[in-house]
Amino acid sequence: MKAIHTKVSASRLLLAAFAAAAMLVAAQPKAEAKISAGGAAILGGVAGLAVGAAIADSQKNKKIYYKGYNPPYQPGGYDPYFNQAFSPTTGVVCYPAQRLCYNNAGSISGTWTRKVYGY
Amino acid sequence: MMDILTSLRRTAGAALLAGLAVAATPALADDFRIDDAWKAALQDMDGVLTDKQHALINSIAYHAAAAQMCDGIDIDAPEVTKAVESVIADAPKDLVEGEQIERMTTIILMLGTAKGIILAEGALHKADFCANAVQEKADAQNDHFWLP
Repeated sequence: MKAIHTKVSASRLLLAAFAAAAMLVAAQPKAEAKISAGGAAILGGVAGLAVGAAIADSQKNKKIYYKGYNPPYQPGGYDPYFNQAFSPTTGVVCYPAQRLCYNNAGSISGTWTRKVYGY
Repeated sequence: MMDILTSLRRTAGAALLAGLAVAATPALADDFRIDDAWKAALQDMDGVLTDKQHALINSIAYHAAAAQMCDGIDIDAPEVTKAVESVIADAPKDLVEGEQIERMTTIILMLGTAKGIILAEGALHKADFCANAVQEKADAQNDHFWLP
């Protein structure tokens, strides 16, 4: 069992390295984005493992929260919370649960999403 | 007479309260929001990211969707890379290695899921969606993740 744990741990480290590389590769010209066939196979396996775990975790098994997270709704109360909305200005509506704003024409307002949530 | 005045005041008070309630309700004209998809995608993810981080990931997804769907809009890959890295790096300090990887993978999944839903919403009214994106891109006061 310990050997398996070590293998998974090493795989995760490898995933982190590949993920960081992949982000950099995404910003590079295609000619520079080369990964060997063996590397691609390893990357595929490791990434598949991590994605599978993340998807499984999203099925009500999540345990990683940001520090100080305090749900703005009671247990089981996500449903009414999800559709709460407010209007920061005429013609714009924002959904706190979604952390996203729309304009009255139905399109996302990137401008107001940034203004309201301050990134 | 007093009864009539009292009745009028009560009626006016009720009307005023009703008016305030209506004013507090945003004009919900966003008919292209795919509510159930967002709810299913987000309800088990709440708390993974701060409001600011979550809005940033949504915004990147929106920019990526518009760049993919609309003519004349291209994504600024280096700026996207920088922003995603900042969210991944700004993790709770007490996470062990495996949890860091799990969180990073979850963020990438959230980004892809949001982009997919936004693509679907945009496709419901592509002309308006793209016109809005072009307008936001042209706004000199607006920071965005598109190439000039």
